[in-house]
Amino acid sequence: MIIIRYNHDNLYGLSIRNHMTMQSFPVSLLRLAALLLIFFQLAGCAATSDKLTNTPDDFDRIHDPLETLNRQMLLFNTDIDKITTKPLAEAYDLFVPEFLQIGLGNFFLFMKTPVHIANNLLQGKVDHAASGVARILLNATLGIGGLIDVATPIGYPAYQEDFGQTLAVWGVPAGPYLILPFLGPSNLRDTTGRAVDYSFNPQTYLLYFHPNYLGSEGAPRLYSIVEGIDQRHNFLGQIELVERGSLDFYASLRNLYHQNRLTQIRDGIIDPESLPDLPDFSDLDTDNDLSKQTPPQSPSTP
Amino acid sequence: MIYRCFFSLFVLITPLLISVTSPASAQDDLTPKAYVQNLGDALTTIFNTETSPKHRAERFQKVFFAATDVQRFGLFALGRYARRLNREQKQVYFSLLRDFLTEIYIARFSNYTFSGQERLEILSSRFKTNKKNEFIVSSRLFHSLGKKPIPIIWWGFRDDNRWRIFDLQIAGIWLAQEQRSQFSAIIARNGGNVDALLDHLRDKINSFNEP
Repeated sequence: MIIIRYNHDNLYGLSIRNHMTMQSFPVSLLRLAALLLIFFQLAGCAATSDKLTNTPDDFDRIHDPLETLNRQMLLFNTDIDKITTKPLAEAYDLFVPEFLQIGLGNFFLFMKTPVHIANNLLQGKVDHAASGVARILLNATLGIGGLIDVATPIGYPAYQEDFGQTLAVWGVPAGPYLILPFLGPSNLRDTTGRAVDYSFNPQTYLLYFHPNYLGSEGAPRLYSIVEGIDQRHNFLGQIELVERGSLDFYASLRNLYHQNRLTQIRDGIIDPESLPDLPDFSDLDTDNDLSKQTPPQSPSTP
Repeated sequence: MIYRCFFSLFVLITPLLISVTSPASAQDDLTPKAYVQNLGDALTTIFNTETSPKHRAERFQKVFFAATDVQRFGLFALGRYARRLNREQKQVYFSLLRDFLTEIYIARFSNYTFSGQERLEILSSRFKTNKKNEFIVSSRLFHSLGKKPIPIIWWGFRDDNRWRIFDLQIAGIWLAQEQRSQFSAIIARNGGNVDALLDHLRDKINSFNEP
């Protein structure tokens, strides 16, 4: 998985940043709406059975008609990661003090809070949205502009919702699985969600109307880079461990993404009755029941 | 942000929680809640007392193969190809699966720093209404101060007065399902040839032993 932020200059053909004027803005919104409509239609055509059960049968429903292309894209992303994002994340881990890393992580989360609030509202989770409002008020003031998360310890946790989850709650199917260049695993629904979340983000509008709001035009780009590095830093060693322990890294990643998204959509809630019955293999030879054998010694253990 | 939580939890905790047990003879009078709590206590004792990654992994090997229905786990992981294995292939498969799982434990244990404060808390438990011998236990693992506990759901059953675990959902990830996705994908990409999976397992096990 590669985590690099959106290319703000060209998101799905919508060349918006810095080139946008007050007149062109509504036009681009129309284009965005048209794009979303096409996405939904495609998603409907390629609908996978996306019941939100999160059961062990769900992975069989992952729709991956672009697997060949996706596998190539994963190789590309992995190569890019090895020569850019990962070394930067390692340097970040090595040279940036831990308190600053935590502060930056808090700040990046703080900046996404309006997106979380909007999506909580769209999903009817008013109390979660209210918690988001409280977080903004508390962390912006007592938390020194979001660098310190003072809200969570006093009962206002972050309820992170994105528009991909909102679409799922609304019943939109996941559509085909995708590996996006630089951005990693997704699906048609979540890719659409990314675009919409971009429009929920106040930063987007600051960029449109005040490109120098961070002091210079290069500052937003730097912000995105640091955020991407911070996110990659959170997974240092772990992605490699998954890769090393996988027989098929692509299939593993695809399943992890799918399961994780289902869990996020359901807010981690699982109904035991939604689980299928345990698979029954009683008709097969059971001479090899490992649980009845002596525990093995590790091949790597001297 | 999507992966921030689940990747770390999945990678670090997978080998820890698929593998706890208690003596079968002491299981007769247990409820699912008590069973899982006992397993959790046994597990966290290992977390909190065993300092050597190698010894920790070895102790988990023992509880893994005793507490988990590896037979069912392994066949489930083959997906729709489970019934295509002949007797010889099945023997080879389970032998390789055993070594594969063992190597994964050791690799993941060696990458996890234990806080010494691991503790399992049971939140709820219930039998399935339509399958009275199958149970679901919800819990969460406290693994270090100041960090969010990890949600864990245990899916198990009672058979012949013995409690066993079929699968665990750790931070939203079902483990058997994750294995199945890989195994099935490999077999499917090789035209349904199960031997291809066996070759991959051999290669992966050998790669673990390479410096």
